[in-house]
Amino acid sequence: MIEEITRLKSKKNSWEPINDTLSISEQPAKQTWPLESPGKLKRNVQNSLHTVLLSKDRLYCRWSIHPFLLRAAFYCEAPLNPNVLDLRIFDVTDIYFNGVNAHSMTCVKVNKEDSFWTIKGLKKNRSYLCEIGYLTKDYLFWPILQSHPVHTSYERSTDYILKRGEAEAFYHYSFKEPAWIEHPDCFQ
Amino acid sequence: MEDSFSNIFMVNHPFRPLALAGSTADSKEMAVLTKAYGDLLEAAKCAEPGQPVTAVVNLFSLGWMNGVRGKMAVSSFMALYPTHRLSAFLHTHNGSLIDAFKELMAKQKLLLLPVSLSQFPLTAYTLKGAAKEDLKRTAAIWKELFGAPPLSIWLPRGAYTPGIDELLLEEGCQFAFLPDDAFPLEEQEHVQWVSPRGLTFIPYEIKNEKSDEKTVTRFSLSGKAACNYWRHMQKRQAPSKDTSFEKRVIHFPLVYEKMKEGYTLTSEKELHRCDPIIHLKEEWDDQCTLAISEASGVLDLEWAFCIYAAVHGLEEELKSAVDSLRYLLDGARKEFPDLDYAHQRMRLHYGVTLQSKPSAGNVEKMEGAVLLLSWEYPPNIVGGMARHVHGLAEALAASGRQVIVLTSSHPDSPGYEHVNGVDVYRSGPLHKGEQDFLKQTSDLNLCLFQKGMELVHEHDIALIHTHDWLTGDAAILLSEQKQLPLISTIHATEHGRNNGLHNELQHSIASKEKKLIEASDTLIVCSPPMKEELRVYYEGAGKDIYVVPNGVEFEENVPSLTRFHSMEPFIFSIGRMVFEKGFQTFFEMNLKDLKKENIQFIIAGKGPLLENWRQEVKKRGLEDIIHFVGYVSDEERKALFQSCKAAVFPSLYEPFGIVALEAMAFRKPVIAAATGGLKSFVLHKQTGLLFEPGNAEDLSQKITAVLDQPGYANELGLNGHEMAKELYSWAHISAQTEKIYDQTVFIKKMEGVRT
Repeated sequence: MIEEITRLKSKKNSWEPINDTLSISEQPAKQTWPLESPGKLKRNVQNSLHTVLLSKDRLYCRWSIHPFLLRAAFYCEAPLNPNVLDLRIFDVTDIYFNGVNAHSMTCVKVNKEDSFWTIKGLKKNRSYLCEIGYLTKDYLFWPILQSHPVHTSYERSTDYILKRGEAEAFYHYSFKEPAWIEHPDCFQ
Repeated sequence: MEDSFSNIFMVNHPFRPLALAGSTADSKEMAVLTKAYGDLLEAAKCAEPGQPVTAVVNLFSLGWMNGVRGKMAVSSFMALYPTHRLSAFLHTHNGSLIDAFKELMAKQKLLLLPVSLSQFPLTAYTLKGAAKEDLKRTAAIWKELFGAPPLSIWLPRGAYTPGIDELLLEEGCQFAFLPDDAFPLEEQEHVQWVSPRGLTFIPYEIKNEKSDEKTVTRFSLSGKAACNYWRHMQKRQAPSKDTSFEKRVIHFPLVYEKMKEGYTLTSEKELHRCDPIIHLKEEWDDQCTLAISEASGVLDLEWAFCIYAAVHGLEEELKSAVDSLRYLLDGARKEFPDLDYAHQRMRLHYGVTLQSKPSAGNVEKMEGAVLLLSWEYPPNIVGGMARHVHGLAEALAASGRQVIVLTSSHPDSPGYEHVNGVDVYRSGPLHKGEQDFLKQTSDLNLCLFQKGMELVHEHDIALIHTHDWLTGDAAILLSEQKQLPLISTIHATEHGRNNGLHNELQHSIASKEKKLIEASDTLIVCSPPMKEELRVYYEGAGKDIYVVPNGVEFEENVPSLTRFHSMEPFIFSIGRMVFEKGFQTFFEMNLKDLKKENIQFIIAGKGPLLENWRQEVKKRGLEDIIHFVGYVSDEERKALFQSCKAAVFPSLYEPFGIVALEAMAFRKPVIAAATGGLKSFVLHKQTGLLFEPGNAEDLSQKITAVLDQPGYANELGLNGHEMAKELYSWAHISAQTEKIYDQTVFIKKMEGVRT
């Protein structure tokens, strides 16, 4: 019967004639055809890790991890302690960060229920990004979310000269990717 | 209000619509507003044409003055104070403040600019897209009031980071004011600072002059260069190309007011105050905006005002605006919005409509889309899977299916692109440098799962189709989370690749393969031997397993001139440099006879054994005959197929062997090891020649047979081509796949009606 229904449906038949043809008198297929997820998630659920420079040397990290994502993460890699997360701040100045090449890293243990942290003492003219994740059973850090990178301010106003070459090159050939960190809204 | 060409006045009395709603013409709230705007009009009236007063205004206040309540308030004010300087001037403009401003702006006596609508520092939003939307709203309201885009938008607290220049330029702005302490001390008088994107920067300093109960703040241009440039700007009201100013491109990583003095831009406390409002954004989507139809702009206005009220600590106003937004959203979600109330809010409260039209892309419906998961997709090509998924995706799209491919990110490819009817999204892994392959795969899967959840939310996805265990975890999680049918194509198994499971890694991979097979509603394999393998080694006996072969593209006019041209005549082979591909068989061949033909062997592909095999070639002194050329581009690969005498595939294990089929598409005689999927389409002495896997002597004989009998070789090539065209075109393969999709979706949905 299933094959027959599939055949009829593939011919773009509506449900009524299919029910009639196949005498599905009770619980017509149409009623169950559109799948509805039970316990549908809240709209636009955002799993996010944001970084905001509160000042020239303070970084505010705010994250939101929906329980379904945490469950998914634990499914992929079992945690050492499911109630403790690691917030890691990487110095990624002038590199394409690949997880293992940061200049330096700072780790903060946070509770699963926490949602923000402020890190003080950032250096001038450096790029930072954050990741939130956890230690796996083999004591290795496993990231769940990565933030957009930020770049701290110049030390002196004359430091603009450091990026002047790249800035002028971009001004004349703007089809190239900028050689600096941009506002998150400028990225996909 | 002192007027000087280098001053900028910010008229920014906190906008309290609740207080204004209940105020009378002589109330304090109205008095403050009318004084501020009265002073501004007066100063502008007295200005010389071409030397305008520059002022930055709060768009909420200005909008309110333009609305029904604002106009009524202005009328009462004019009636109560007929001799007031503001009343006299407004009389000539029918009580419209906007019209009065317009006239002064037209006469170049006033240069009016908005501050961004929510007045929240644009670098501090913890919501992606919020800064862009803030500027967009600001420009839209400005256009609604004044009919043209603003020349600039004042950045709250002077907060700037690269990229904001692009956002401002998108809204038609020409310059931006930035705090002066970020600029180098510049002695030259004719310097024009520009961002790398071409937005002019004008340095300013805060004069700290707050008067009129904090209604007006005065800023001043800083430095001779800025004053010179501004003088020029004011005369023209737009930068001119024939100026003698030297453009100096400057990049700032971060700027805000008083940064050098150690002040903070914002605080945790302020961000936390805004948090609940940020979360409100999660409660509506394009469907809500559509549901509230012609009054949709009200949602954005309410939200922007909530942020504004939080920034200014207007508790009562914030509570009221949040309640209002929730009420409107609730109605919109139920597709029964209170349109009267929405219009009332816009006309009475905000004085503007901010009519936003959702972009066509956002409202596009994708009925019954297929979500294809693959760890590789062109241009990221590692093995045959990328080409398989690519061929299938484009053929399905061509047949009218809506296809979304979700794959790993690639340095040369965008996060999203629409190619030949297919939507391709790329995400993860976060740690590309991770050496542990399993860990990197888990990382990728979590990224794909997150992106997949977004896609499932945005699109009407009917089913998930994953390829191999590499994206299995993401597929299983998505399927479980959204109760979508899961179809898995198993291209090869760990057991088959290694002729058993011999170490921990192989066991781990096999365990992931088993999990995927177990969770799948339907399985697809590319050859009958693979089907058998799943049944015997992977407990797939209870599953629906369909055999759908790989497809192949048929190309015409392939260029044959490549870096390998000088090596002709040659035998060609291609594949990953791993043991099971059997390239080591070449070393044991009887090459003496073949040398007479001066035949060369070109073996393309990369992989862990590439260097070992190159060394082996050297060791055996075969450098002039066997060439492991490593990676070849798509064009080169096609040209090599086009130019070779024959194609050889000596695999010890081959679930399908799409490259052999590809050789057939080029009408080349195929000599293949009699293994796995190769046997299903290389029919001995009909569409190619088979030899015993690993038997070098047998392979030598078959190659000799092809080289010695060109007519026979040609016949094998043509027969192979005909068969490939008949059975393995992507159109044919995608039609078979679609039938499996329909069947799977149907069975999954009928589960609910089985009793």
